[in-house]
Amino acid sequence: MGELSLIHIQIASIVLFSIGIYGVLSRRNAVLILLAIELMLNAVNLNLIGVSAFLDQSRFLGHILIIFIITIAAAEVALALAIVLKLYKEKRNTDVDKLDVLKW
Amino acid sequence: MYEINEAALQAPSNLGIVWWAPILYIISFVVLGVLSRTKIKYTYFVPIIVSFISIGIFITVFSTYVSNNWERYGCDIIGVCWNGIDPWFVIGDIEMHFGAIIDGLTVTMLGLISIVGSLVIIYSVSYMHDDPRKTWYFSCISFFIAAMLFLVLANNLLLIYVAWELVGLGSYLLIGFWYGKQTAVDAAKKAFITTRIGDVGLMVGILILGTSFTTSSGAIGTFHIPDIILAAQQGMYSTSELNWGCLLIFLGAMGKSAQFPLHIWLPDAMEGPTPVSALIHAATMVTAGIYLTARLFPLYEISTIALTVVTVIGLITAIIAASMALVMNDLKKILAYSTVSHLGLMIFGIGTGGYAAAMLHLVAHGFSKALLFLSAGNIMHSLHEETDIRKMGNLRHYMPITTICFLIGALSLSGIPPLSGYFSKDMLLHGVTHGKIDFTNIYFLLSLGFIFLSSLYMTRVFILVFWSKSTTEYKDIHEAPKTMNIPIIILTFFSIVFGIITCLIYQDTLLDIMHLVTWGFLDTPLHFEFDLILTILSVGFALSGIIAGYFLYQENYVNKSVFNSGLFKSLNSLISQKYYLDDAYNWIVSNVVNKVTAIVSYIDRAFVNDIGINSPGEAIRATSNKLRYIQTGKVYNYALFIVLSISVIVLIWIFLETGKIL
Amino acid sequence: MNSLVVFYILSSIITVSAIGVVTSRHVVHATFYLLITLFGVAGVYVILLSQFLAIVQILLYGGAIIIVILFALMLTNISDFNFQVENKHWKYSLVGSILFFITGTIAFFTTGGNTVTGTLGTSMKNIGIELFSYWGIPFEIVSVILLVALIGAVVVSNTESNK
Repeated sequence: MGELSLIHIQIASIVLFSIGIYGVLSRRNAVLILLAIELMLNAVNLNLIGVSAFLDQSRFLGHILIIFIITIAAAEVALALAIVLKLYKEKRNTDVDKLDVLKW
Repeated sequence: MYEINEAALQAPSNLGIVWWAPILYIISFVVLGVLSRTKIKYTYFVPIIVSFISIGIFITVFSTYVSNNWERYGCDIIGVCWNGIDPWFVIGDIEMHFGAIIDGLTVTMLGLISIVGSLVIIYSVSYMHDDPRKTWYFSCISFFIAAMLFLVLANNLLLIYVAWELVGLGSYLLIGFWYGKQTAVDAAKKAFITTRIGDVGLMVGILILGTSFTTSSGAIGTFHIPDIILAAQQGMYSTSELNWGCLLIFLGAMGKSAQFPLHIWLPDAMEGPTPVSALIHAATMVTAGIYLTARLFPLYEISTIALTVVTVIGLITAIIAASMALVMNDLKKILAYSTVSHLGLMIFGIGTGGYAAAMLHLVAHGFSKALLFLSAGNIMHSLHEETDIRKMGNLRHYMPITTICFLIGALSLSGIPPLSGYFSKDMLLHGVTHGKIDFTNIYFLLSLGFIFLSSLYMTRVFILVFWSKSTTEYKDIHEAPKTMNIPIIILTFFSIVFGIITCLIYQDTLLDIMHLVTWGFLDTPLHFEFDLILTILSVGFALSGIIAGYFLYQENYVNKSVFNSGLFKSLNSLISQKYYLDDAYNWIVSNVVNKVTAIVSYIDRAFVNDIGINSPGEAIRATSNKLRYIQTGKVYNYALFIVLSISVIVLIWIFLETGKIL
Repeated sequence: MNSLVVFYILSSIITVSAIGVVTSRHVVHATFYLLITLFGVAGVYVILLSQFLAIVQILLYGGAIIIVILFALMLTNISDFNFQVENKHWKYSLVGSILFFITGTIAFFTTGGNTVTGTLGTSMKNIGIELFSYWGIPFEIVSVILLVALIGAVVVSNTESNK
């Protein structure tokens, strides 16, 4: 079996991130896309804490970045949910398939 | 030689005001241009005041110049004056000197332009009184004069070129001022296009002269005229460079100064208002070519071929135009051909080395010709724009002042002493003969012939218009109003006294003011020297022309049918058809130029436009038309592309960094 | 040895629940799957001796963000959100995510650093000192961003449309 090493964390992180990508690409509901984005953020956090714990001698950088990322994620969720709700109020609909005003 | 004189570096500071002459005219142009859409009356006071200030500036500069022993000064664009060589800025290896030259030539031209311009503006107030667009007219006049002032002030060939084109634009606007008339529009286009042919030569010539040597300060090329002259005198140009440069610049001068065979635009330019004709003929437009040739005379002096071309072209123009003036029946066209002919004489004078004499003749002719044109304007004003001299006659009883003034102008141009034309013409002849009269000298003989012709056609005009019996009945004919007569009388005064003052009273002083001698030409007549035999010859030929004209046109001594037979008939028809030059140009344009243009235009359309420009555009348009469907507007499509792109970029990056994948 | 076993257990929980997040047909279910994932990630933080982050993760993500999402869903008519749950583009999405997975794996294995073992934790005190001294200004900026985002959220959701 061997010891826990950085590559384990990294593989876990890339798996989580890929699942997040799948969610973003395949989902049609805006709220579910938001959830998939949260998955991707967590994958990044996982990677950061792994690198920080194994490679960073001072052990600070990863933690601090993660704290910032969580904060930004909170802000992002709040704003994105507000937008989604607004959209829902305007169009009674949060299907991204129908939101194609940027079309050619 | 143009040298830095350390002692004279303290140049008089008030020379800087010379810039205000053109600047004020530009301001007048802008102000009147803005006002031209309004219904404000009395706008003409702006250019009148400006022109008076401009005369004041001329007097100031003139007196400063005289009191500083005729030192040549430069004056840079912000009005700081010096007499050294100091580039304003340097682009690459080319030094730019943008400023004014203040020397005899410039001061002379400044005086002529200021005075004639001022009188023409005053005259125009009455002449254009009923025209609804007179504000725009005065605006254009201001622009025209400003451009010409810039041209004579410029110390730099590029600056001269710019001003040169602005003068062309001004003439275009004014000749085509009455754009309702098709003939006026055509004449304006003809003037513009014909002078453009010369301007191409001018530009190439300027570039040849400006970029083919290394200056003392290491710059490759300069357009500063004194530097160019210095370089030429030190032999920095190769012979072919100098020849081509001079010839091409002279092509530009030929266009502007209406030299054969580019003279055809000037007689047609009569379609503009008559004061404009006076301005073009006396001060602002046609003098530009003479001025430029005189300004660059030291170059022509070195380039023998160019000097010969100048001489021959000048003489051909003088004789041919004089002969055409003899057969024309339109009053203004006769005066126009007379101008062409006298311009030819000036160019001829420069070619024979007498460029001081040519400048003197330029001024004398300018006053006389402005006088004649304004008188013609009086006549046309009274006769309701009638210009055919066969329908006139006996006007001396109706317009006494105009008659006297016209007579003096005509006599001055014929070269009768003591009017100004006599002095300048004698000085020119002096340059041709170089002091000894030689009847085998073809130039000398032809100039005598020119004198005969010029007094003959002047007599013809005068007799047919003022003296002979009228063939038509005049209705409510009257002398012109005072505002129109006063400028004419002032011009008459100048025509009378200018020659006497310059050549007799202040002989040494005033001709030294034109002391272009500093360039170092040998054997050039710079003073009027009284030579009895020469005077007898020239005055004799002039008088014989007058007498011949009198018997021919007043007394009908020779039966007119003589002219309608044999050699005379063919000669007459040749000259009346203007030597078929217009037809020749038409033939060339329709058979050569148009066909070449058609081919070039086809090549341009087919290859440059369709293949070179349109086809890439069409290809991009077609591709984009397909490609735009990528833009689905659906977020997950963009996200998918982002993911794929990141993957590919990361893989490439890994491969480049480590040289392997895994 | 023990930590590796625990890691495998945690990572399988994470993976399964994450797949649940992206495939679940009900919005609320997906949200609860996400909560499980977050707890799993917090567990990984713990075995990497970063207890503080684990607490933050549970409090902020599990406590705040998930609650915000649930509240948002509750405040609207939740049945509307349950319509568009089928994954129409799943093939393309699968290709994209697998390609990304392969790329990321290659990147991690190629660039080395993969055999490092042994972790050292860091105390909350050190993080606090570091955060409020060296990272002071970014910290303040982030707090301003958070404030702005919250105000923006209020403004966006409260403004009546002009229609």
